[in-house]
Amino acid sequence: MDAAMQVSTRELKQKIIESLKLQDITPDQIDDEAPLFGTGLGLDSIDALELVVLLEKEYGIVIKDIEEGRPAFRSVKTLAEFIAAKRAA
Amino acid sequence: MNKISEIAKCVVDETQLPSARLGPRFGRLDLQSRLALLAVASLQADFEKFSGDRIGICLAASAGSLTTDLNFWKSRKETGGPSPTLFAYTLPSAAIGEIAIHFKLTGPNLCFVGDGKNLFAEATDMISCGEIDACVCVFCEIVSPGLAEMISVPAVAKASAAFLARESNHFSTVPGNSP
Amino acid sequence: MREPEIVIAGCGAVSAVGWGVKPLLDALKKNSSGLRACERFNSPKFQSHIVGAVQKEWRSGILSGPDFLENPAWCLAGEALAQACASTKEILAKISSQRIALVLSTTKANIPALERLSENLPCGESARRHLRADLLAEDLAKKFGAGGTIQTVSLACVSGLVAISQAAKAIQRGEADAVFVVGVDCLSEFVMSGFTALKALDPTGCRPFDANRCGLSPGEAGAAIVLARRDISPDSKIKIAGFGGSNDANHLTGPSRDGSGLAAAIRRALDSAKISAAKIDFVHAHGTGTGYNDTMESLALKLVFGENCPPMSGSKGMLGHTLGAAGVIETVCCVLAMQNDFLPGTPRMDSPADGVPKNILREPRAGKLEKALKLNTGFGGVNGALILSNE
Repeated sequence: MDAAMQVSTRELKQKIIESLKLQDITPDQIDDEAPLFGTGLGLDSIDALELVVLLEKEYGIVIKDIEEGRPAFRSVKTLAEFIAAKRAA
Repeated sequence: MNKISEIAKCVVDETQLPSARLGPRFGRLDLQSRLALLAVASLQADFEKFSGDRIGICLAASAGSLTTDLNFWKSRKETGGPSPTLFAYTLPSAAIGEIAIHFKLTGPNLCFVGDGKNLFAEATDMISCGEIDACVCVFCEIVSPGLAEMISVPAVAKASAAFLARESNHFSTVPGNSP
Repeated sequence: MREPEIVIAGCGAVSAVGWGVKPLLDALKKNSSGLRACERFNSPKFQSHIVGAVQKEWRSGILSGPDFLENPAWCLAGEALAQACASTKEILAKISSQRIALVLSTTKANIPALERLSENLPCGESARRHLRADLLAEDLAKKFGAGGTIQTVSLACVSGLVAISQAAKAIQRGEADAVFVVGVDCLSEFVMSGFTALKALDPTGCRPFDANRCGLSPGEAGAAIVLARRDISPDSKIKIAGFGGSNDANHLTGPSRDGSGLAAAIRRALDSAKISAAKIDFVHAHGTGTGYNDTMESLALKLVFGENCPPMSGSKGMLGHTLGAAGVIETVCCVLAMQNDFLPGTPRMDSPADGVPKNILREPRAGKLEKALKLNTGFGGVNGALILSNE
């Protein structure tokens, strides 16, 4: 993958923390591969929709169908890969 | 009839919010829900003494959810569109939902827009007719400066809570005798 | 329910199927839908523009003054209440104004005023005033001569049923002899953009309980019910028999997955009516058309009725989801069905989804109803169940 297409997971984590208003948590405390939903960060369906807004606002990626985003929302790592792939497309 | 007592009451404002942590997602709640939840938590009432489905929640909000309504309406202009989280809080009863979730209270709820003067009477009525054994009462006054200008009322941000319960120990030991 | 008995003395309704109770009855009998494409919402900003909009040309002109565009909440509520008052003129003449209370049910009151004010668009004083639900209630009470207590209930989409229960309580506590219950919510960009953000709209229009359901359709309505003590309106046959409420304590926007919260509300309503589940002969469902709601509701009915759920149907495929008005106008639907000896169908449902009670009615059918159960649920995990009885 082109280095310029890489998405900084640290920056992504910071944006997630701000957008979802997570308290008392720093980017370093979020494991790249830990699940975002259910266990892990314990996000829910409203957060998933808020992440859709974040992707459009911060990365210009429009997700019409939430199902399309589901696999990408598994972890910070999958989300960063999804963003990179969309940008490369 | 059993005596119904006010077990605790409490008033909170914005200055108490920064140090408050009630649940992992406290930061996501709108201002009204955060203050309402904090006010109820500050009661330090022993909800465990009652079954969760026998505790009701009665809430009144002086300005409905208009402060969050305005924040949501402004959010629509941002790239990515309006915030789904904010929309979920554009109801005065959102605070009831958060209180119910946090304290696992599954009894019936009442939610009013107005001065809250009827709260104790409604809660007492539900307890005395046997619908519930105890009731959390919350009165929220949340008007952001932007909203204050729009509806010509002073800006304010505070919530007060009280806990009313049937005092079963006031029962006479002789059946049929009311205290 | 406590004594004395409370009856429904009269109704009024303005909805996507017309101005008045008569067009609503016709639509219920024909199983027709008032959902239409609405040009106002035909924009990529919204997930759907199929809504239950009130048609302006139907206006009967009972209320003059504020423009429908600027203050639709007042127009819808006022028109519905004017109809309900007209239908109960003789009863109301027997009561002093101080003995008439008013309970308003709304989630967003006149929210279009917030849209206008935040854009610095012209907005009249009463439109601005009615942004506050409690002031809308005050002005309705003043206009229609309710000099008793005033309450404004705003418990998400259960507001209407709670308002009816609160009205009944006010009479039972001796605070009033009759109560105006008014439910209102109007269509707005505010609500449309909110449900779009939640990805909760069915782009083709809602299909409650259908196998292909995928979201709701917002609607607007004004609905009014005059409740009275039985001795004041002795000829009224429909009685408020019981009410039950509960909270899922599970999630802010998603209903409980197992239906236990709504089932608890139904059981409370049955207890309050002092009847067993077997006595219910019709269920009017919340039925929004979202997968989560309809599945949860089906599960709740199974918890209460087992495999023997009574005939059921829902009206949101006809009226759209009218939010704070839903509980009131859907109760009016039940009253019309009970008074006219039929069971309404479920407009826009084609083949029922798996798990939906097998007694769901696609089409209306004739039948005498004695005990009807009306359900609503809402954001914040709130559930409500109202039982009407026809005697």
